[in-house]
Amino acid sequence: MVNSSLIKELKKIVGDDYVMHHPDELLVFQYDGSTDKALPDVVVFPKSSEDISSIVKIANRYDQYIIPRGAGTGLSGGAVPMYGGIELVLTRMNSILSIDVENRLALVEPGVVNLDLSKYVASMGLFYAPDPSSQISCTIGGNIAENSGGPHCLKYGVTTNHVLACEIVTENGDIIWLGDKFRNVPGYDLLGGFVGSEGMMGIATKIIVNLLPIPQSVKTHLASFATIDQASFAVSSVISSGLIPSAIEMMDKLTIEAVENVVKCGYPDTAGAVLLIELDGSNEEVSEQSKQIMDICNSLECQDISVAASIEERNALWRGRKGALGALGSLAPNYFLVDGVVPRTKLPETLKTISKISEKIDLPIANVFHAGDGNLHPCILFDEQEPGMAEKVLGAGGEILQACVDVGGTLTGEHGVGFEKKEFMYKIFSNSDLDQMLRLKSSFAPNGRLNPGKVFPGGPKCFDMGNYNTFRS
Amino acid sequence: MVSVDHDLEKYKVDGYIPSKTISPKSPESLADLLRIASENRWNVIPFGFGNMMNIGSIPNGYDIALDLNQIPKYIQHNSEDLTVTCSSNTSFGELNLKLQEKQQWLPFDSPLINDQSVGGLLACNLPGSLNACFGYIRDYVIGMKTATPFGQITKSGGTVVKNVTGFDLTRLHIGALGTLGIITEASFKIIPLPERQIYLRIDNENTNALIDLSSLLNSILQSFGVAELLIDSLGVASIYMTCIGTEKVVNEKLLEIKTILFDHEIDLTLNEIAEKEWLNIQDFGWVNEDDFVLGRINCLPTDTIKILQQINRIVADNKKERIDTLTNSKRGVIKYKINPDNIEDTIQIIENIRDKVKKHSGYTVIENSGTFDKNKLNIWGDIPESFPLMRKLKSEFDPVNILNSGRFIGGI
Ligand SMILES: Cc1cc2nc3c(=O)[nH]c(=O)nc-3n(C[C@H](O)[C@H](O)[C@H](O)COP(=O)(O)OP(=O)(O)OC[C@H]3O[C@@H](n4cnc5c(N)ncnc54)[C@H](O)[C@@H]3O)c2cc1C
Repeated sequence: MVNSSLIKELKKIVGDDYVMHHPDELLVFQYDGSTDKALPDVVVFPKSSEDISSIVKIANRYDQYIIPRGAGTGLSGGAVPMYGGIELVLTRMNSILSIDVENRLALVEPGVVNLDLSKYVASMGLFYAPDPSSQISCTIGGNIAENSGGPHCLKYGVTTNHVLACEIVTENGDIIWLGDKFRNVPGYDLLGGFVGSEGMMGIATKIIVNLLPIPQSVKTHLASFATIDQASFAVSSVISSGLIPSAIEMMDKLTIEAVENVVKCGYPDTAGAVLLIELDGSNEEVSEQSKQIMDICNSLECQDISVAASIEERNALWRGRKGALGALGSLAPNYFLVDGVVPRTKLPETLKTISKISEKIDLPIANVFHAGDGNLHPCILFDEQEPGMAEKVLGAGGEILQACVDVGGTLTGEHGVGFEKKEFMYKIFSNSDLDQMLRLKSSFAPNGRLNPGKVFPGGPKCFDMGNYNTFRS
Repeated sequence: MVSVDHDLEKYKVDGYIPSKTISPKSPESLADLLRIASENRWNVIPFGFGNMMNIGSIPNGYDIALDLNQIPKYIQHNSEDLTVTCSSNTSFGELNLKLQEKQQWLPFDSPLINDQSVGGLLACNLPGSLNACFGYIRDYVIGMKTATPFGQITKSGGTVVKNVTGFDLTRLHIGALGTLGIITEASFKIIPLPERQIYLRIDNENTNALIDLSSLLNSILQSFGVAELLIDSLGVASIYMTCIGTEKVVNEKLLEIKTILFDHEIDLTLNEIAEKEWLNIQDFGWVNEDDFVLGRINCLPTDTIKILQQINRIVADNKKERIDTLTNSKRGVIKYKINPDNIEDTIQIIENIRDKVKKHSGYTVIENSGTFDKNKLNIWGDIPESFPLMRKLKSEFDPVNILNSGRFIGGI
């Protein structure tokens, strides 16, 4: 039961309209696309860093957890309030505060939607490089918390490579800046530690990112292959040939079928897998590299390779890729997306293992993923109404992650550990490794009030974590 | 497990000689030593190749020099995945040579780049010109192992190019001068070696013309190269450039540069120079420079030339000290090298520069103080707003403060 004086105090800060606590209103905030669900006690929509600072101080007084939330697209349970508390929804803080065109910098609030920033600066000849496939809805604050990537991070890197500074509200309500408008400022790279901390070390309230000039030329290739094996081999061949495309995305037969059911963007139905290979840069560079891509794919007996002839054609190809997850709904009522990473040379082997797992559990698995980075997204298709399905699917997800780890890969490339994968952390890290991470967390947020129970195995305050306390001085 | 070296003089840091040198033979014995040092509150200074020991403030004490060179060295190059993992005591020069066998590389430069160990390079984090084209070393590190003062070898990240599993500790250690742990292994993503890299120089005594030209060249070179402007103490200027890319791109850029020089109102010649000369520029303030103090300014690219001009005024007003500058308007970096004639004057010049830089919201640190008495210098400049967090971080990672104690910002 929520304390009514807490509600009163929160309303005093943000106004009556921006505090929700009736169970019906809370339903949409219990979920982030993963399998985990939990209701917050109260949802607050702050408008400024000062609002957040006051809310955090109130939370401290009332001994409440704070769970930051952007658009809730996280897919790993990161923004789900597993232990209740105050959910801090940052979508009202969605202003692009200033653009410095000459130094190519943008100062934004955390609730700015990723794609809106690129749209806003396009007329200035600039773009914001990290482009999660969810970019039409996910927020820059969420991107920072998850250190998100996207199809084009193959060439441009992930969020941490593009964020220069961040104003944060700390666990005790202080407002401080990490980083600056340029790199290499004296002292520890606290910002580097903060990015990817999944809302557990502070709330990002203002962000300075660097922007890039829009490339002169872009060419998007659609290469189709008879088998997923051939397509993965083509990925390795492109990467080891010395080319760095801006994106290499793969979709398998099932995904193609789903996309063509829903988005109809012209992917060939005879293909076992397609690759979207995008190049960008100067006109000469791109046309030269395009020839090399054609040669590589042709030498590997691709069924067909074509280049989008217009912006419309290119957009259609990407619409298919970006709409692929949604389109899977045409094949099954539910899907469970696994986010794992393998060394790129291990793609063929891992995809075979995934196919075996699919046979074993007798459920189809569609693959649509950032192949150039080795970042797999096998989607297990199922119907949650069927009894025992959830356990079966989660079990298969665990097997897939184990397969990634077995070939030298890891548990997550972009969706974060969140709640969903925290018990898997021991597959990669020892107690001592986790102890170091907890030390980082502890220097920012020693009380575990922010987004409790995420990333680290165990309960809300990570107290069941092995060595941590024994090593304290 | 360890060997004890009695040749203590070569491990001198800021005039301090350690009581003991220890050379662990494995990362595990290194970690053990750190635990023992923690239990005994010994001040430890890790030693890679020892070429950059002038960085930082004076240590709080110096019980043990920890020589990392007897730990087995290795390089695991996964050329098809474009990744490499190596021991931190690998020479960066050797690492890049190995990568080049497969037409790949790590696109960094830094002072004394080929004489730094990988661990030292990461811990000191003194980026050179190439970061203007390729980003920073922090953008290439995908995993790291460190020995902690608790006696453990711990890892973060991994060997895949995309990874958000767990918090990112690698970036904390980069530029931390070994105050949070000792890096024992690092993994990098690497990139294909460009088809061609050329090095160019333009000299002229018309300093103002070259200042403008260097900015223009930086914008023409885009991400395919970078121009550094050297102005020596006599006011003679030179532009040093590198251009990198495919044969075609490099030729095109070269043609653009030549056209600009041809159209320029003053007579300018473009000299193609050897890589060695370019590397000498990267070593600015680090080779045989005992009598110099080297400062570095970081600022917004658009403020670089404004700050340089203010420094030039300080130089013109000062008759005694010799001051050279190396400026990069693309990166927002100015390095200045003062030959101290009079200690008080030198300190005054540094403070003047610091004042000007502060007005532009930039930073100045002393990168290399040569033989200058560090007690008289403010090595790290003003401490940032987030300093209390830095202190907390240090106390979490190194609770009894054994690692490089006192050498980092704010006496950390
Ligand atoms: C269809 C689809 C495609 C996707 N594709 C990609 C992809 O290509 N690449 C990729 O990286 N991810 C992808 N994702 C995952 C997700 O979109 C990203 O992780 C995104 O960054 C989450 O942003 P959000 O605003 O939705 O954050 P939320 O889901 O609301 O929150 C995510 C985490 O961030 C924390 N948080 C949110 N805002 C803040 C803040 N201001 N300060 C501190 N912590 C905060 C939350 O507590 C939570 O832990 C995809 C998701 C979907 C549904």
